[in-house]
Amino acid sequence: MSDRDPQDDRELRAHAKRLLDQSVEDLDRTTTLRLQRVRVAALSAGVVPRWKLAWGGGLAVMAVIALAILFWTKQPAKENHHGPFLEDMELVISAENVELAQDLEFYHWLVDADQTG
Amino acid sequence: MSAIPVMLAAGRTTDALILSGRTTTLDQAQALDRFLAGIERRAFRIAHIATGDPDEAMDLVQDAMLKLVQRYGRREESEWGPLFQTILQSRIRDWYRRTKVRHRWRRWFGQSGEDDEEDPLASVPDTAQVASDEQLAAKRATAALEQALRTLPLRQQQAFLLRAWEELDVAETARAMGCSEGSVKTHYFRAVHTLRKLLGEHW
Repeated sequence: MSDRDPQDDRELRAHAKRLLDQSVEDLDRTTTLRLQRVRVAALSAGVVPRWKLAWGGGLAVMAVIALAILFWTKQPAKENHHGPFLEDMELVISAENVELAQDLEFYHWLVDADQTG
Repeated sequence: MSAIPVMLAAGRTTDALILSGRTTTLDQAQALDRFLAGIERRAFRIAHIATGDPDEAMDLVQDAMLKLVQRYGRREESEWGPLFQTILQSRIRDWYRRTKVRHRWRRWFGQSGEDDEEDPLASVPDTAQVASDEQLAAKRATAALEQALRTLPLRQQQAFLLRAWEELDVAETARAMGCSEGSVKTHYFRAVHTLRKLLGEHW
């Protein structure tokens, strides 16, 4: 690389730059319009209008509200229907409750014994 | 000309826009539009010199614009220039590889690719005005420069255009070309050496 003359490089660069700049200025109208269309297409594809997001967001909110209403209205009925049955089952199967029932018999006997005694 | 009024006229945008999945203001979209409007013609010329085909060049510029808008539109405005050059140069390299493979297959099947080669003089803009001797000389010099640039290997061509025309420094050129700074210096030196030899008689 030692044989190059920096002055020649600068001149070559400057000349090339001038010509290339001029070639940009000389671009024909058809090419310029095509470039404009290409830019519009790129911006349109990359930029999503707000109403599209608002529409999508609105649908999502509506779906959440609908689900909330569904659970709100259905859940209490479900509890009323199954609640007592489950509670009975718990009473039957719990060992503590059996003991409590036996204790209750003992308290009844105690009360009766007091009243008679 | 700004693309935003065109988009507005076509009902494509409203007061605020969504870019890359996030809300951005009309100002930001306009800034992006202004930036692209400012570089599109030079980008087209770079792609045209690299491909020798205006349609291919247009496609490459559109791809680069689209990627910049979709992936990097939210970045700082000062970053758009280097990012766009990096994307465009990468697209040109991809195109070059694809074309090389296609030509190889054509040769394999005995087809000549000579028909596809463009006469560089054909790309000189045709103006209705009668050009002066000076203008004609400039057009001839431009055609000669383009022809010389097209004879350069792609990496040398990229290095020369980015350094001499886009005025990127060595580090920025290396980033845009996806290579080391040392490679940029070598490619650039070889490009200048070849151009000086080729253009000696015209310049």
